[in-house]
Amino acid sequence: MRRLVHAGAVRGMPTPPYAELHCHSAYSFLDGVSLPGELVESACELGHAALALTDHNSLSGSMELAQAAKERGLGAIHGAEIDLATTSDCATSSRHLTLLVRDGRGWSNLCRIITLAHAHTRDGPRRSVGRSVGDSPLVGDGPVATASSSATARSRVLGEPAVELEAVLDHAEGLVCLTGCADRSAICNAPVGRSVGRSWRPGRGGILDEPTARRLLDAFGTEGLRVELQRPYARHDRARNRALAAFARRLGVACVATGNVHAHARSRAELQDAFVALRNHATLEASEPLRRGNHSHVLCTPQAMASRFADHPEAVAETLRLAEQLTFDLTEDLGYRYPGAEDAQASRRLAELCGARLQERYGPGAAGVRAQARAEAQARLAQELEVIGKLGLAGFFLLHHDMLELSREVALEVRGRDSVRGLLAPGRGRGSSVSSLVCYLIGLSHIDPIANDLALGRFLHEDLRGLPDIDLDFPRDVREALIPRVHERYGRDHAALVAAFPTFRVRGAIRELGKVLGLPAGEIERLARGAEVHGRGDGLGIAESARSVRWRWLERLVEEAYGLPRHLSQHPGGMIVATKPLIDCCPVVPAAMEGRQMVQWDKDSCADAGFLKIDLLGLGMLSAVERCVELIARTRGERIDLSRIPFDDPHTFEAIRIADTVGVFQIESRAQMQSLLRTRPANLEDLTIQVAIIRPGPIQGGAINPYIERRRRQREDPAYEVPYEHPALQEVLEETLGTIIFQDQVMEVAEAFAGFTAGEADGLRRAMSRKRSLQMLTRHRERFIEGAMRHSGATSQSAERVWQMVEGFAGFGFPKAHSAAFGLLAYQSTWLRVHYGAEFLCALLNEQPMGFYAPDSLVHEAEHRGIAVLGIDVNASEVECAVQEGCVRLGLGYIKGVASSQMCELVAERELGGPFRSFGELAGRSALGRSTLEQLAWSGACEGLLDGPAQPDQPDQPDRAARRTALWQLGMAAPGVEAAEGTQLALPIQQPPAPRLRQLGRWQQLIADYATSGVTVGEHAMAILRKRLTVPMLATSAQLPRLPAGCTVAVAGMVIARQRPGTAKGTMFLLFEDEWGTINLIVPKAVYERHRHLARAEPLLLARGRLERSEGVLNVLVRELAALEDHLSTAIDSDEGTAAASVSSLPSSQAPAHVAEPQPAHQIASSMRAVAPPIQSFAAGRRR
Amino acid sequence: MAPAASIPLNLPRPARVRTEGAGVPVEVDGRAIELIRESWLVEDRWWTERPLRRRYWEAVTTTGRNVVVYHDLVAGARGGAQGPARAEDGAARHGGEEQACGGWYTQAP
Repeated sequence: MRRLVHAGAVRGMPTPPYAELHCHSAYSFLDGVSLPGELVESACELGHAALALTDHNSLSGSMELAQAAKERGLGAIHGAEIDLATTSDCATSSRHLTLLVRDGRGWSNLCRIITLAHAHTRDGPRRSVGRSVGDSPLVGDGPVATASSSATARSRVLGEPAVELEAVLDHAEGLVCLTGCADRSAICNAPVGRSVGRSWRPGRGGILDEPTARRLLDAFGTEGLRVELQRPYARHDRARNRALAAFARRLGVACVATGNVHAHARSRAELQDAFVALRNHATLEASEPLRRGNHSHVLCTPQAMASRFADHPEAVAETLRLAEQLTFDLTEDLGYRYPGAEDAQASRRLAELCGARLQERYGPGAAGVRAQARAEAQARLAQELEVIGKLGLAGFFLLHHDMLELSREVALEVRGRDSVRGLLAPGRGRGSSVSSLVCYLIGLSHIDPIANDLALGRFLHEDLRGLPDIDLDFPRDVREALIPRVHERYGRDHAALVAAFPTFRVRGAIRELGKVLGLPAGEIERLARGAEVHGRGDGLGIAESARSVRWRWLERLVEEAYGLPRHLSQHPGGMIVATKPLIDCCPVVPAAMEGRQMVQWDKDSCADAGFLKIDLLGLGMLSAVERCVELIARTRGERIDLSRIPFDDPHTFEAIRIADTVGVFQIESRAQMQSLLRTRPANLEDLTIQVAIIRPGPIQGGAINPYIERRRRQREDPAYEVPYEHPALQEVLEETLGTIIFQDQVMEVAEAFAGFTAGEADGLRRAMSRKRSLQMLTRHRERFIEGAMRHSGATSQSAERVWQMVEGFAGFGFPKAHSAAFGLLAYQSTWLRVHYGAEFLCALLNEQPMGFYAPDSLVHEAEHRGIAVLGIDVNASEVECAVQEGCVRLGLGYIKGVASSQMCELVAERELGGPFRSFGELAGRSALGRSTLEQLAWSGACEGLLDGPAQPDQPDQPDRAARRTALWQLGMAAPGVEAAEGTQLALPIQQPPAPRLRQLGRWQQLIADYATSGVTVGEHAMAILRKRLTVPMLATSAQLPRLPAGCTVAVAGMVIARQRPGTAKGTMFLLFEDEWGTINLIVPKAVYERHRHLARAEPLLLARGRLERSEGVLNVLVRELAALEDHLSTAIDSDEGTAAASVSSLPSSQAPAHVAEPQPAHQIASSMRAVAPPIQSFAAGRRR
Repeated sequence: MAPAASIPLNLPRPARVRTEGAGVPVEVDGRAIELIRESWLVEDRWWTERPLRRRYWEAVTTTGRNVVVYHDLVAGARGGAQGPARAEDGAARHGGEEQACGGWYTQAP
């Protein structure tokens, strides 16, 4: 029995008169607007003693509630509002129940009910094939599998979770059932059957019919069933509640009052209305019948709730009686164990395994290992095994080892036994686990922690609470195959992926909420594109354009919605395994990809639950380098083992030092490249620091400039002495020259300087890295300052300065071990790029999307380095890009809007029947539809099928009419026709020659390239437009290095990256590309604000500003920005037409056939806006 | 032929309402209230220039008549200066009377 006392109350304070037992958080996804933590805070402030979270078919917020409530001394009650599947009796309505957890058995049953409710939510025609309705792919042969009735399951709406009533009845033990919500639409004057009263009938709402209620009574008993009364201040509330009270008396059960809360505060109430409209794809006006009609769904005081139910005091009192019976504590009673956790022999087995590997790696026979390293390794292993033994984690490491062995099998299958990729490990470690010698010895890490001097503390220490994190990176194809195999290995009911909750961001919120408010679509889009990616919507730029109250509401709603979970998604690779069925611990729901399933908790909740999470991450660059070595083996016959390449290759380090790193791992971004020119890395240790330096942690902690400056001074003067804030910091910050660059240095500083224990230091790190623990950080500050003064004798000012460095890491920083792993891959990828440029480019193009640059930019940059890139050709291209005679040939897979399978069939047909000789043959032999053929023709992939040049008088000139001619001929060819049994192939009829058609302009050709493939191997946009620009002081990227620093310049280009990181205090960084290379621009905040829309959305820009040069780094400090189209001369160059890509827009027969049609300048920009390649946008991936 | 002008029906009209301390009506247009049958709240159109906040009561007067009255909380908050019955809504305005009624209206049940 739980004793309810006002949260934070002192002895003698009265117990509040009401406990809230029905409350939705934002994890009801668009039917709740507050986070569990916000609800807890409000509940405490309002004087509640307990709060139940009852989200729709979800326990996603339960752990957050449990943790927050425990911290504040509030009683957390867990439950859910469960939708019942529709039946033939009630075909047009759905009903729901409120289920509350009484004990551990009840929790397990609720998890199983919710699992069942979601079992078919991802069923589509494809997944349903071969599976009978009612079979749950998730619950296997467990008892819940029998609960579904195929008769009623047929009436389910696919995509919406719902469970059969029978399943609920079968899992009633340990649960309390409330009959469910009030329903405004249930009001009816005509009596229906044996319903609760003369004026009520069942509708969308709770269980209101007596036969169903009596079935619930049989299953839950009188102690487990309550009739739920609500008072949402809708008309007829009181009448309904009187009828429900009478209904309860007939059943012989008690009534209980609930508030059906959807918001923690009045300020969020309007957002709930907007969410209802959004959920129903309607505007606020149109959704009026669906909304609650008022804001009574906001959490209010127990006293207010008691007076709201003045007619039913017994129902109010029942809330307390019931709350006291619901004693399940999620933070204590979950009962989760991971496989191997209770293995008494685990410590011995792990020690044996590590001992054997230690001999191999560090024993007398191991090459290049010094005696000192051997002794260090032995001591380190003993230390790690001792800590692991004390923490009881031997089974944890053995489980990971088992997982890696499984991945080895999978990798062998995926790569093939004879592949050169077989030389590579199946995956590699990342994150702090790389610092562990045990991880290194059992294969979970590829970095030698002894040789790299990696400290263990961040990963493993005696004060560790919870489980350490081990992250493993795999090539994408290996990972794809591995995840289902993990399900198989540990059992489908014992393994699942971790969930993630994408949250509302500013742009998405503007688009969705703007629509709900009925604002003009064009204006919404303009605003969204101009909005910041970061921030809560402050300064949307609405103020100046706000002419109506709706725009002001948009700004407020965006602010309120920011950060709330939008929907359930999948973590990139975190997996949970358990000894008992996971569905007894947490609901398991199908993931988007067939064959995968996930728990309803995110990584933080899983960590709080003590779940063992194994991160199986897909790393695009790992896939790319594997592709690359395979290509090299195929094209050059060389077998490369990346673990044995020279790690001091001067050509590779020279490329790194001059920032010739486009496309390589981690050090390719604009900021990294500028940094490379100043730090000038000379070895792998330098690279380890380099990959960690451009991160929010070191930036906010003020580490970058001091580190770079000290490094420069050290280079110039080997006798230079690095200054340290305090002598106690010298040892822990020596390698980073007195600055904090690695996350583990935060812990080391806390220990060495402020006297923290390892556990306290780890607590500090956790507080910095978890969003929901930001408030905890402030508590650590006092402890740090006080500790520094006491432990190190530091002055308060000095302690405060060091704290500022530490606090900077509240942003994101890499642990050193992680940096070492990534630094190695950065080197390996650079080495491949330097020595096997074509193969590396080809691998990158085939692994897209990945990295910083779009394929178009990668191609242009490679061309500048002398790598030839050939366009798409139906007779030469493979489906993927390929290396052909030293050149990179773009693959047919790059054609937009065409299924990869179609291109595979085309290539297969070409290999079988030889090259296509005409359009008629292409249409006849392939199964491609007309739209695909047109896309191929317009991309230029069919130019080889034309009979001779279209301009016989100029045979050496590029045939700019070729694409039009191809389209013309396709118009005459009959493509295959879809039939029931497949595609009916067309007859390969010889096409008559096309007439002489007007040529495509250079610009038109460029736009056609971007429209069809997103890549051009032809002329750069700036090469085409350059002559039309009449701008004083206009310089190209090639001319800039020769201009004096400080001069005023104008530069023009295509924007390929725009970044405005939160750490830059409003400054935006742009990267232009022109026909010669790239140009870095810095747009100060004031200039950005003045040209916000241009800076955020315009693909072609002209900038004026001052040229800045420092240590080889060139930037244009922008004073003015303008759309390029405003500076194009009005003189029409007939060679740059911009007609649309359709046969209908071809020139009339009166027009001169060989001349491209003229075009106005403004079409240049508009045509580019429509097709511009996606660009890098900071922290938001690539987007248009 | 031009369409006939629409004729709004069941428009709210200002009412004289006396309330007890908690704001519950006890008298409507001079008739005492015997029984409160229902009360409900409407909060809507907050995103427009004319947001709506009304507290409704359905009551039975001592004469046995069923009446529905509402207190316009937006108008009430502004001293009854602006009610929902604006000309463009098709409702008659009763300037001085509205002031006197403090945002109270009656409507057919």
